[in-house]
Amino acid sequence: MVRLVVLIFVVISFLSGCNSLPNSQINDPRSVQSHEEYQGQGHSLIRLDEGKHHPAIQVLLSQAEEARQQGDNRQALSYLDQARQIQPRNSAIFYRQAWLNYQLGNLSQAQQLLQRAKLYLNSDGILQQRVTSLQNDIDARLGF
Amino acid sequence: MKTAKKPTRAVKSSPKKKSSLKKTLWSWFWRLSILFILALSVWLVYLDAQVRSQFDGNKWALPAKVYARPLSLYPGLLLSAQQLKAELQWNDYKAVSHVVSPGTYGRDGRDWIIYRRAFSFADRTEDAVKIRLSLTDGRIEQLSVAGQIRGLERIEPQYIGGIFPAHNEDRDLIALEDIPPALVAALVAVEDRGYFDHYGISIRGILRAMKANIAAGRTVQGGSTLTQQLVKNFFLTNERSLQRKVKEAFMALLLELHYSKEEILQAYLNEVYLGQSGRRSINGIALASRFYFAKNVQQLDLSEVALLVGMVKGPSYYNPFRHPQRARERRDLVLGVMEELNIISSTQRINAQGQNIQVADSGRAGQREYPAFIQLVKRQLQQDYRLQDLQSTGLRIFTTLDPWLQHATETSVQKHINKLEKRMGFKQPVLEAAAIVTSVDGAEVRAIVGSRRVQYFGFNRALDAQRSIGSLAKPAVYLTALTSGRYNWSTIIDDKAVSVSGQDGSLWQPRNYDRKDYGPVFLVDAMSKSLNQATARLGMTVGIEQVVHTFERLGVDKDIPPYPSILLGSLAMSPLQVTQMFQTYASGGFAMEPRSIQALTTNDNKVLTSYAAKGEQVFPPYVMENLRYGLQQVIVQGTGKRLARTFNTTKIAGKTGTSDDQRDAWFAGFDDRHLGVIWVGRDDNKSMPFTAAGGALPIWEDIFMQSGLEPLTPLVELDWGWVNSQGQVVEPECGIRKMPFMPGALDGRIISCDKSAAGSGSESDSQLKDNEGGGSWFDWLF
Repeated sequence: MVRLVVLIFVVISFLSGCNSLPNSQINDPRSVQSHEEYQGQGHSLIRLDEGKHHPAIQVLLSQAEEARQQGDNRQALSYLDQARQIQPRNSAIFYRQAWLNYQLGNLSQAQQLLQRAKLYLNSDGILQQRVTSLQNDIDARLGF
Repeated sequence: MKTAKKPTRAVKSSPKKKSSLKKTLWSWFWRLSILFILALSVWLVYLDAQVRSQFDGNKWALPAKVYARPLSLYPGLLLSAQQLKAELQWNDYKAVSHVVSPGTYGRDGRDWIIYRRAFSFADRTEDAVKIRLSLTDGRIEQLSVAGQIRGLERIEPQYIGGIFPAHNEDRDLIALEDIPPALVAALVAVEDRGYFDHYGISIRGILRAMKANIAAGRTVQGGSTLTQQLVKNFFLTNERSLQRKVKEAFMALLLELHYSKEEILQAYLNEVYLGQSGRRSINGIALASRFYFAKNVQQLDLSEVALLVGMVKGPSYYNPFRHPQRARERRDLVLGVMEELNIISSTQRINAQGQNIQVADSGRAGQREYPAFIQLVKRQLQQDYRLQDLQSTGLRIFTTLDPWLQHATETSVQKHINKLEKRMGFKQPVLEAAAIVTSVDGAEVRAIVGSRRVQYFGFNRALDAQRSIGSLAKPAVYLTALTSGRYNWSTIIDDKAVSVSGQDGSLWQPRNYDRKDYGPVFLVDAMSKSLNQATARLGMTVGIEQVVHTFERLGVDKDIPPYPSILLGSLAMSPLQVTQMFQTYASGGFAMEPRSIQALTTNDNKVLTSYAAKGEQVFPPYVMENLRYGLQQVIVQGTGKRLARTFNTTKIAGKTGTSDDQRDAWFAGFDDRHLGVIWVGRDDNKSMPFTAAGGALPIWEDIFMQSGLEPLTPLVELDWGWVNSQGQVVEPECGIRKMPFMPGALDGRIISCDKSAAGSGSESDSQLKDNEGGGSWFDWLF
């Protein structure tokens, strides 16, 4: 009987391990973190839809990137804001909002959004590096 | 002889005179006729210009249409079956056993199939799709379309109201080719059979109407053609005079001269008045179809087509919501006429007459309005757009309103206000209330109630009532103290009688609510228990000007006089202003204006503006996290304890506020998702026999019970240390309370239990003051 219980436990553990994330994490979008990845040669962001994200965020980042490539930056910002409303404390989204605002020359808005990105910054090393780098760029443009 | 000649002369001159008179008369007749023709011509030219100028181009002032937020569906979304069902029903989705057409849904246990309609969202147009989702433990587990897993799908947003021109006419424009031919044929058959044969007026029709009216001895039939009806509705007033009737006839002739029968018919079908919903006038077949049957015109069945056509005669008299029997009789009559003119067969008529009158649910979103929210939208849009453009160019406004939260807020306010009045024994309604719910991180306004009468288009208390905020002001006093770096939550402050003399010689002597003195208390207890004396002393010590400055940093946009009484909330604000102040606490130090608009597009879906969250960081996150701990203690041990029992968690932050003589009851509180601000009071500003905890807090509690509560999670990590009864940071073994401190604040400050026992005195505000080398003028006085 004990062996059977142990066997069931092992099988369940194995099956649950097949999932990349535990169920509870999949089920709560607020707890699903984004993970940045480097694309291309440099360390800076190239596309808004880079990295791994919650499925809903991934959809919106792809739409934002598509809009950006079509030159519709206002629409890209709108998609990013929709993503923010789904994951209101996702540093990666705030970083992208700040990044795009910086590209558009909205420095004060970029600065404010980067503050938010910093507030929710997790242990993602690439994101930390990118946030610092963008802060330096903003500071340089602002003359600090 | 002379006398005999006279008559002869007279006889001879009479024809001459007559002829002259005749000539004169003819002459005048012709002159007058020419004048009349000239005047008539001028008048006709004027009418013609009027007809053409108004009928060409944009015929109608199209109101802006306001939509709620779309329901975004994605894996992990917190969504109860109850909410999903309600939102679908409010959005005119019909529950069916086989989901085969857009606008329907079905349910199979935890799986839902929703056939989403095609819709032009602010960002893109999406086709109709069949969405399958499974709900597990109140969350979406999986989402798919045609067997493909999806990350995000949206249900089109609910229509929640319009920004109407002064006459409040609402309509959806439709082209004639999009209207079912049976409807057009039925309208012509019932209203004007000779429509395609006359030139705007029908003499035969007028004679027939006259005959019928004489026979009946009263007006039972009108002789107006469809063109005349259009002229009357479009160009003229309802005045019953011969002059108006003549004008109508000429204008009808002119209209027919310049425009085709099809153009006139299309205008008629868009113009026709078909009912009233509150202040909103329902015009045109397309809107009426959506309003009465929750369908597009193309989706109407024969019974519904006949009913709509029948209602043209008297939309109020044949209103199917209020008079279903009359409406049915009228429908059957129209169906009879349609059969008589071979528009439909006898079988079709019998089948249609056999159907019951089925109208859309009158409680759904398309049939009601959200006045308090629409007022905020209008006000915020007027910062960027002219009111005239909002009322006339058919803009589409996509907002942040969450219909589920709005429903929860409305029902909670009404339920508790009624309960309070019943308990107080009031026979007349005397209490009023206002409530605002926003998202914590983005300040999107999710729900607003501006009065207990939630559909009332009058004074919006949520936006405009300036009421004393009472103890809601206190967190700003404590925030000032924490920001100064001289205080932390374990600081001991004195709760004893305080007296401050004003410039006019008057004395300000605030007392605690229970009239007791609590003596030395922890700073955190003074706030969570809302002690007036301790807070007043603290505020005077940190400085009133400093507290005023804190209010300003928090985003309070008003002149605050630096009087001592503001420390305890002798300060009037609207619920919206309080929301803005608490938003800064809830968001972790970012000042954000509550925002109701997401995007604005033109009638043909070109994005004019899209709005994103903005927020300037006005307080460091660590300071704000520290303050949030204090606001949580209100729930742990203070005036909001009741919430901890209800939700079985203390991870909620909030503050009660009761103004002098219990004239106002407030509660402002937030969880990890939403901030809710509630006000209860009387319009005549009289006292109420309850405090904030009994009046406003239960409304907040009920809203969050219905919408679901997400316990607070820390924004940043603070350091934690044990303190003794003197407020000293000590080793855990001899500590009595664990409290948060700013990072690094505990370094080298922890006192061993031996030293603590030796008694090194409390860390009180007076001691802190001494360390700083002096206090404010208040300490100097007392």
